[in-house]
Amino acid sequence: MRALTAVAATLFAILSANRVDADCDEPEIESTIPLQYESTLATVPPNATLSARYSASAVYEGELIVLKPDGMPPLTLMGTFDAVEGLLKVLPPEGLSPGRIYRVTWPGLRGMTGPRGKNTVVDFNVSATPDASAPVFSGIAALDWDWTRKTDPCTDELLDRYTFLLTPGGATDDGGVDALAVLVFQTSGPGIAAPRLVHIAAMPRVGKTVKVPLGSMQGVGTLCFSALVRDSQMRTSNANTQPVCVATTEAPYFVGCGYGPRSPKSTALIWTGLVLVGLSRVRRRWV
Amino acid sequence: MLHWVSILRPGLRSTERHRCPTEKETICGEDFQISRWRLSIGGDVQMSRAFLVRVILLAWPLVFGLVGSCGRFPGILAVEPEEVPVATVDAAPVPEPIAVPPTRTDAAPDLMMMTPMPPAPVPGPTCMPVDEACNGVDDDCDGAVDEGQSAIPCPDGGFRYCVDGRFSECPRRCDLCVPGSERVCFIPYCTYWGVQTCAADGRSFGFCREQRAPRECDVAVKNNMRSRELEQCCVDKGYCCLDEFDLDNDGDRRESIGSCDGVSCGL
Repeated sequence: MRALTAVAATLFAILSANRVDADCDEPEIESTIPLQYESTLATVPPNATLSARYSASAVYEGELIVLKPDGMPPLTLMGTFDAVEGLLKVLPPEGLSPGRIYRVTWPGLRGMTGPRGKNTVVDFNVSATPDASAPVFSGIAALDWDWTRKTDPCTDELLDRYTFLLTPGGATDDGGVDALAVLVFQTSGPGIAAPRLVHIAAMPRVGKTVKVPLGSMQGVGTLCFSALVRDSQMRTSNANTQPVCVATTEAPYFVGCGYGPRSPKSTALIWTGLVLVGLSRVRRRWV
Repeated sequence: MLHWVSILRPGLRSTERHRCPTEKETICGEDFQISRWRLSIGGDVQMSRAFLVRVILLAWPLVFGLVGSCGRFPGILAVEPEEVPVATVDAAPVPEPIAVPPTRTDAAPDLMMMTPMPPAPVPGPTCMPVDEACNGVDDDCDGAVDEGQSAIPCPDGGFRYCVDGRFSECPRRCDLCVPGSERVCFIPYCTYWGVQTCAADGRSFGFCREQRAPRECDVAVKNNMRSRELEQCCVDKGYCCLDEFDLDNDGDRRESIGSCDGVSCGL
């Protein structure tokens, strides 16, 4: 029995070591429009284009998007993919029926060098008013920042990142705000010559923030951000919003020169060693 | 005695001249309130304290020539150089020296320049409507800036948007590198050759991890170690390499050069 447990532990250690590599470049769905809310369903106009934003390395190979109206058979639809924005869009050919609840299943996409990601399911409602005019947006209401430090699955190292927390101001649209996307631009900072699109996300609900991660090189110094909102018809709000600026400092982390984080393979070796020691003791007792 | 004051009211584009009122008078349909802090000079000259201090500090040589003025606080009081002189109709006795030239003086511009007040709006050129452009200016004179600017499609996908008076650059697929991709880097010891992996978010490379250099670059390693020649070998042999020795002379030693199709951002 103990021997079996030891073998299982060894297998677990080896499998967990491989799992780290498998997570690298597995494209995830960063945001969908509409979003899946916990308490209430998002509402979109009947002429809405649905979209999902994938992480940078996603490759679209014609995976089908499943759209299921409540109480009706599902529709399988081909989307259009903009690799630069990582945006997979689909426009239901017959439009969406007002008052009906739908479920859309966004497919997991394969990475350029990695495995396929996971599907994401979103339920939403459809309003009666079609989206006919551009949204109105008051710009970024508040801006804060922080450091984050996480072990990266590709490099197996601790990587520092800046995270900018933007609170969008008020937005209105005739198609409703649940179908709006926030486009965040960095307008000044290291290496910025012209406004640079740094993030796209679904418009958060009131009081929620949009998290914009930047690398340790790009995020230090005085940075300014501006934002637009884009509706489901790809119309944007007025461009005349004031940029909001913040000054950051370098992260206080020190990268040691002697020992790095333990690699998954070394973890597996340690587990294997412990199991072998345990086995030898068990064998001595039996002998 | 008749005094003249200059009052710039909100909404008016030019300074109006009015006779200094009594407490009961109304000017332009508004009750004219004389500051509580007023001084009387000679019994019939009233000045606001702020104005008096300003005048004394900034143009005291003219103070004795001023016959009187009056201020009003919620509006903007602006004294234009031409109107500093106050016309007097009657011949009331005034302190010496009295003479205030009725035309612009040398001291008057200084008074204007140094007075810490908002500048009086000068009637500017009339807005000439042209097509609205992305430039942070209300080109079509409709009161809105850069409105209605359509996004410009980019050749590789995505759009350029009008933001803060400028069009954004075309978006890139990732910030720095394709997640999980690798490039060659150079270390200062042992093999002088290494590999670094792009992070999962594509925003940075990891540390340079030592590896044995390929056979085709053995000579460069032995003869030159970590050097420009080794980087050149890396590029020549079809690897994507860190441009540590700035082979392309663009001053950027953090970029990747060589065969970087699957490493650098872009399609």
